[in-house]
Amino acid sequence: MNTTLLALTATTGPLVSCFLALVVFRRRPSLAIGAALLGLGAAAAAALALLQSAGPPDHQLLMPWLDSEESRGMPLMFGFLLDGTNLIVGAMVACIALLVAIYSIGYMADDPGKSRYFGMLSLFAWSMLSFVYAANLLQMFVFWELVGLASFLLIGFWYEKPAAAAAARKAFIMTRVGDVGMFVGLILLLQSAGSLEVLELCSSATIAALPQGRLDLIALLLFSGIVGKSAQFPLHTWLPDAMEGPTPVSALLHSATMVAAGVFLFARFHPLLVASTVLVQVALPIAAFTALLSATVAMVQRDIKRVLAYSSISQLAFMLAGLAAGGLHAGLFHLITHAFFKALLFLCAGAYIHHYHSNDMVVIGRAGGRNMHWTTAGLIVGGGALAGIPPLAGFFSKEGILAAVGGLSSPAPLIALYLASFLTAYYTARMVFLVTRPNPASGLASLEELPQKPAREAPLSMRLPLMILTLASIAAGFAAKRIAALIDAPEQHPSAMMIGSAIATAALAVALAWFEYGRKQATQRSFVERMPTLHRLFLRQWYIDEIYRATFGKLVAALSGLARLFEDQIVDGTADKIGRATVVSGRAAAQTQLGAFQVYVGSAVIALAIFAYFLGR
Amino acid sequence: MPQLPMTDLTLFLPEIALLSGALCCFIASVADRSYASVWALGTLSAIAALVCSCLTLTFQGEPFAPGIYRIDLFSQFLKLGISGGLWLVQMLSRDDSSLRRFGRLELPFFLLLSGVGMMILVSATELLTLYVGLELAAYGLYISVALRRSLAIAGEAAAKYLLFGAASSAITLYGISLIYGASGTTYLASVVVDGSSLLLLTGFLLMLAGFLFKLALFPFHFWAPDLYQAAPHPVAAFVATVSKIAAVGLLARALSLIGATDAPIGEVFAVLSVASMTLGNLAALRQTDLKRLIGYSAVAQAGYVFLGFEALSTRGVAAALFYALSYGVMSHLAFVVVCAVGRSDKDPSLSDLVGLHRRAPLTAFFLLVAMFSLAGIPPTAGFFGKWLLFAAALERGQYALVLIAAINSTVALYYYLQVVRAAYVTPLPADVERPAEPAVGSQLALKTAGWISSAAMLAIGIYPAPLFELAQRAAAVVLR
Repeated sequence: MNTTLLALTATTGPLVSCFLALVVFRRRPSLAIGAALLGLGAAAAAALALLQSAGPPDHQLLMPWLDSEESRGMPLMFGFLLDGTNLIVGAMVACIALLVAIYSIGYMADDPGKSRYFGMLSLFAWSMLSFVYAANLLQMFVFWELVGLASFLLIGFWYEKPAAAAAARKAFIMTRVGDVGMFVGLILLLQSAGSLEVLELCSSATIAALPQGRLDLIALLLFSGIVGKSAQFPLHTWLPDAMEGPTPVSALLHSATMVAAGVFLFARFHPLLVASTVLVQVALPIAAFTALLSATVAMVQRDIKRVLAYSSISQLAFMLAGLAAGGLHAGLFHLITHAFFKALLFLCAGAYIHHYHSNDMVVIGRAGGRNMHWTTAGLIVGGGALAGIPPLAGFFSKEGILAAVGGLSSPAPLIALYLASFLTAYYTARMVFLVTRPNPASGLASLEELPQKPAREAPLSMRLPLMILTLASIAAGFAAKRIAALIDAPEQHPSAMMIGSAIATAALAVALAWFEYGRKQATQRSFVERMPTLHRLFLRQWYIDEIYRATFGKLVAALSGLARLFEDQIVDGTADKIGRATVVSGRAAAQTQLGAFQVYVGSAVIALAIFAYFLGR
Repeated sequence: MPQLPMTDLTLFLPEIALLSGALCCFIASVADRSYASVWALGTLSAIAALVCSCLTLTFQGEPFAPGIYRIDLFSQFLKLGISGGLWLVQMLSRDDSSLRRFGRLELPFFLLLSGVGMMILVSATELLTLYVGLELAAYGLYISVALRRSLAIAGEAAAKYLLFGAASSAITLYGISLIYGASGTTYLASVVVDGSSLLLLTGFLLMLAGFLFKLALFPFHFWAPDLYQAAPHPVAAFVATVSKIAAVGLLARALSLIGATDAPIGEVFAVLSVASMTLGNLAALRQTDLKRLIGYSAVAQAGYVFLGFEALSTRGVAAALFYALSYGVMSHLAFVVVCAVGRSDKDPSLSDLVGLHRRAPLTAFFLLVAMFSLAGIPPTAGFFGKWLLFAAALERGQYALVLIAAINSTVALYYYLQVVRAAYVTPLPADVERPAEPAVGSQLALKTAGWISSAAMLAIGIYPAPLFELAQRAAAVVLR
């Protein structure tokens, strides 16, 4: 089959199923599910076939899209770019979307709005796939925004929950803050480089031709979009709230779509972005700080989805740090492995939540969650991958990132990442132990009543994706060579000492978690709880939301109040007075003239006509 | 498409279609007194004008009196927008409950007449003709505004609008007289505003002030939110769509007069643009009345349009024209929802939208598309409009300006989303059982109008090239 057709299938398949589910099969949920699975299945098959047939970069431009003076006679073209980076990520996105859709059959079985849900899921997958395969940056931006829009709709899917509504809006606005910067960067890039074609922008000739200051500005603006989308400090607070949506949506959003878009953009424009030293100097501290900050927050949460959400932010920061340090392969590799094990972890969490109707790890553990064997196996494998335990996927990709960051002159980012790795392994192990080794005798209070139901394995539709992702989380780590060949970037291997210390860090963290949470006599109290101030800081997420509310929220409210005061009191007040005076005087006039207005106007017209007649004669 | 011969008469076709339609409406409203027939006549003539504008799109010439009235791509492009908008607004007024029963018979007549005035405006190349067009366009509106069912609101708004309008006319006229005094001619072709004459510059700026009133740009916007709120829904829609398109055309024409000058006109425009978008957006944040919110957002949107004018380049004007047409469609779609949700005595407020997606999914969908387009989210027309405007401003190196505009568009997103949230997300209070209100689905004309607008908006957003190319050619024509 030719590649154009495959690319078209991969991008439009989900769109067709979205249309079918939302419009045609609105009242027939089972058909809507069928349509969504068919569309996503076709997309996944096409994306895998494309990956198999990967050759040299294939730049397929289908039709002229927008003519622009800056592009110097070459109109912007709508089309696909098929090269290693796009093909790998595209295949990953399509597969995970399909698995999540299959999982959703079981998870959403009792939901009345199934058609809508599957329609939105298809929309989400469609926009992400179109974003990944896009040939130029403008096209990417359009779908980038659509990804945001689709996630806005999906997060707010459960309207009945006010928290979901607020989260949806917060997610949309926060990511938009970054996008606006990116939008301006896009226009600047078009004006400076004369093109928005991905390959042309990444060519060394184009980059060399850009003045340094302009390059820095553009890179920073593009990076602001990445910060918003991939939930980095200071625009990270939307992501934990976004887990108010249905859990399968979180799985998709945290692994393959929404947040992956930011990292993908960085990988896509890697040569352009790292050519700016200013950007590297800005991006590295942001990423390192975010990795650390969110890891500290993750280790004090009890809500399993919140732990995972903060771990996503932290892992995304790892990827960005790797990319900013020049490790294209490392960043991209971690994006892929993380997508698999994070999707797995969220789907496991979803299976527990679906069964026990609780997000609290303590409740899940004490109610007997570990007896859901497949799910627990998935949790352990996914957790191991996240913690970076060899030979699971996360270990290899994290090594690559540490190697890339270790090559820098400044040791600070590396130290921060090691610390974050330690915390990651710690909170992951804590999560696993809380679920698998419940200890009712520990001092930990149960916040909710324990659900009294026997553990029962999730239905097959949910179990199957779990098994596949479990395998993927083990196998993906061995794909490093293949990815390196596809993207034509070298693998980076850390020194034996770094590998040793990374393993030691993880082992130490797991041991600590075992001591505090796992062993029989464990108090299930974390070491941070002995430091109340620090504990409170972590629990309240470093007070960042509070700070935003107190500053930006107040500022905007005050400004709009001021504007309104100005409008209402000064302008309208005066205008109202004039208006009322006129009405009053008009009434007075009307009383004296007694409605003879028409006669007056009529006679005036006749008089004018006579006048005109004499003048014209 | 059959080629029409280009004669003095065919050059006038869109105007003739509207004018004869208006006269027919007038006669029908006196003789027949059935609203359905008057409405059908009005709609037909708007469609006829739309078809005529399409047929005469490539025509050019100066029928009857050279130098006074010019038909070219620019004027026909705008007439396309005006007649299209008129038709869409007609579709809104079919069953509208905010119109006074005995007054609605006259509405098509006034709207059509006002449309004729706007067509004259965009074609006029002589100052007095321009002024006649301006007044003709305004008179119909002064009366239509007062057709609101609730007299108390309508009276005040109409009086306010009339007063502001009269004042702005006077200023325009004074400006025109100064221009005439300084240059000795009323033909625009021979007026060049350069640094040579302070009198000319003053006259020009005064005239411009009158035009800015029509666009509702800060500080000439005070009438807009009140008018939007108090006018009958279709009339407010007319002001928000057709009137805006004509005003942008008028401004483009006026800016074509600017020659080489050191007067900081671009800087003044930049300040107006920033002030307008900032004030409009901030004031809109606190609104709970949907029409008033759209009114303030219109002030902000006028500020965005001015980014294009500020650039004083072909690209900028093209972007402004593109945005004007797209904005017309967007705000029309918003008014479809206003008409569907609004009742006779009360404007729709945000709380009236609660649960809309359950009661009337189609209306809610229209609202969603309209708000996302106004906010400039792809793939809607609003996104490309902003893209082109920002690009035009950046081309001139106006980084600060674009930055402010970008921040503004984020602030704006907040209240647009608030509207969407009310319709989609806010749950209905459990104890309140809302009666099933008339949804769009029950009114064929309204539903059709909504479908047309949303399809147009998505079509422009996905494939903007044809419209933009047309706008670019039109801008090239007007800037000489």
